[in-house]
Amino acid sequence: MTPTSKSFKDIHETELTKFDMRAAVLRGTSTVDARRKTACTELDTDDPSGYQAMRTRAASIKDAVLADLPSYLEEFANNAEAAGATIHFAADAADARASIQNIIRSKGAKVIVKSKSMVSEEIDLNAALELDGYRVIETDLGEFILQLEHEHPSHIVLPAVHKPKVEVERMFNKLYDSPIGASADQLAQTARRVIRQDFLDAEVGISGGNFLVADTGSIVIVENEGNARLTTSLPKCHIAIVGIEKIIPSIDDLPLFLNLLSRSATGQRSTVFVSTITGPKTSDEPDGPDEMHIVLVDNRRSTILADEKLRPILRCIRCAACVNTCPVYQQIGGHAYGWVYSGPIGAILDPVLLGLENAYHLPYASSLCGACTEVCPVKIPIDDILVEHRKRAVTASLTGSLEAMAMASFATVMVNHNLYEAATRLAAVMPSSNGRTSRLPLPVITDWQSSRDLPAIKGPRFRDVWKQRLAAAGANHGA
Amino acid sequence: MSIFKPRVHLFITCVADRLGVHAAESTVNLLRLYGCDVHFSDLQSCCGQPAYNAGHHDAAKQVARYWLATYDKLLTDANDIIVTPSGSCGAMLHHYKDLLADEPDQIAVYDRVVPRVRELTQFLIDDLAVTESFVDLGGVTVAYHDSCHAMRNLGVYEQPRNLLKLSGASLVEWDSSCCGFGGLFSVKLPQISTAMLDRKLDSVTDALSADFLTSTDLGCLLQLDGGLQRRSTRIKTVHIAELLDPANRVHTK
Repeated sequence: MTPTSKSFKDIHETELTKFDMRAAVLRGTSTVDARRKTACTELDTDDPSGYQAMRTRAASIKDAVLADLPSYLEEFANNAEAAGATIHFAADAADARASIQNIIRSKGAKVIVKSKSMVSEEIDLNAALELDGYRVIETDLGEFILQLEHEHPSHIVLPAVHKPKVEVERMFNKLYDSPIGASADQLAQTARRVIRQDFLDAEVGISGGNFLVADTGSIVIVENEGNARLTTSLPKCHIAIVGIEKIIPSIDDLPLFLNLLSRSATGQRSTVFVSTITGPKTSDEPDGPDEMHIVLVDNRRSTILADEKLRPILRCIRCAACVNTCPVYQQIGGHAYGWVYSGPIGAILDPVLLGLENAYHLPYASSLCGACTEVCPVKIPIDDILVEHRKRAVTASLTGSLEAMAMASFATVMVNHNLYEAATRLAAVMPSSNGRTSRLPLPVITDWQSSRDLPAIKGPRFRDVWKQRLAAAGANHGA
Repeated sequence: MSIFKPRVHLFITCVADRLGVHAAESTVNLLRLYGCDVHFSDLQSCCGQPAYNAGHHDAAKQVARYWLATYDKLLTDANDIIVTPSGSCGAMLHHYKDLLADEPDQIAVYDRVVPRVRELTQFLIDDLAVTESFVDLGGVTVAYHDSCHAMRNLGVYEQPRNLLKLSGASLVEWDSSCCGFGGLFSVKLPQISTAMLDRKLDSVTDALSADFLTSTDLGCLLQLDGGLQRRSTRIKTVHIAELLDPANRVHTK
């Protein structure tokens, strides 16, 4: 998808007028956020194996991997190849697409089934494959719904969270004769019926991957619908597209990460399916693909890796806990962010993947409330990184000279006693309309007052009151 | 409470100096009632948060250095404490460590000064361990709003609630999400800020039928009251210091 993050200021205003979408997003994310909270609180004990200790351990495991990523990738690649998989390293999106297109061409495929992969969105894979003439079918229910409407996911775990259910009922009624008022379960059954034949016809299955296990060469996929298991086992050829940051050192680390991921993502103790896939089918196995390809995608991740302040972004396990708990995302939804990754994680990731000049508005789309950082299972300091991007936007002169001048003046006033005295005294004589509210001819005030009152700035300052009464009262009080 | 009289230096904050005079005055009253020797230096200004949050870190550094120098001079005794009626400004001071990381001299001052800063309710409960209240708020219902920075960055959660309970007030809990203030955020993206505010104000009608809405932070209260003024509700917005100060006129109904 073409990024539109540069137009965030216009787009988010349009998104705010979509009241049905906003209600669906707020309901969906609040529900999952509450489940996450319950599931994580359940582990929140004081003992050394409790939830907070798990977060710390997961963060430090990820940091250890990132400190030595090339050798972990090499270990993973060697073990995966020993198990019969073929490894492809892709430096960027075009590279990744070309690798996948080459594999598919060699298979003479016509039908391709896909399970959920945000990296495939990142590299615009579907558009490229459709241009090549393949039928590409998204088999995750949410993604399937969006594909029917030519829409992109608005959330990394709940791709169709912005869609009011009644819209899906109407769409399925028109296309598949499903009843209006169908339950979520009935809608899923309908989708299953439709997709089943595609699974049987597909020559190639494309999946993502939640973890790459270095010491076994396995990829691990968590899901609740079973479509990823079918995608990776029915077609003769399985292609997994995974970001290079998804490495964990050992299969022994997997339980920790599975526990954190499922609880943080959906509030489940465990997802319904966990598939650990090590190479294609072996000669003594009856089922599975004959070929397995793993495309390891960099696409600017090594830029993040080389940047000490941004590096913790690569700890991310894409649980979307930060997204669900974000009060800004809950109001504007994911499409407002203008690209694949939305919410707090998108606001720190997109400026690197797209270039800061194309996405610098996103880090400002936060009140810095810190809810994201509080829930992150791998302790990414998201609010600090938001501020770091803002700092870089300022340094790169993206935020305008007027703001720079205002901030320079602010600092000058605040570090100069006489100027501070004069400025705060001056503020008191600004006109107020009804004695109760302020009316200052400044954009900041009018923007504020567009929707909120501002109390009149009048009367003595605290420092005046202190001098007039309080200091002396204290002296008496002390005596 | 000990018989020792703690010496408290106020960091009143620029917001309270200009927009929250009653809250600031009640902070002084309250600290004196609890036996503190209260000092205020008029050399103080701002913590620099507006510049820091907006990414203007050269400007923020200037203000940070000034703040550190000002308070470093004031702290003359090992037991001196700095108290601020704002969790957000208090939390900002902790960012100085990263902000000035390249300046060892400043970090040395930071290490002397910033660990002595307390948010008001934190100081009363954690340091003074107060067990009495000077107001009787029996029969009064109070909706307490958690300031994100007080709660997440300073761990202020139980302290204001305990103080309100000591006063006999009935607490009304409500949606704990951010009010949407966020300093410059509220004017840079006013529509999102207002949407967050409306969600908060819509979420619990119980909270809005309380007598008072209170918090540790004037920024949040400015935002919440700004929205409430455009709705018909009887709830009054006051800083927690005003609510706990018997001399504050908010109690004369």
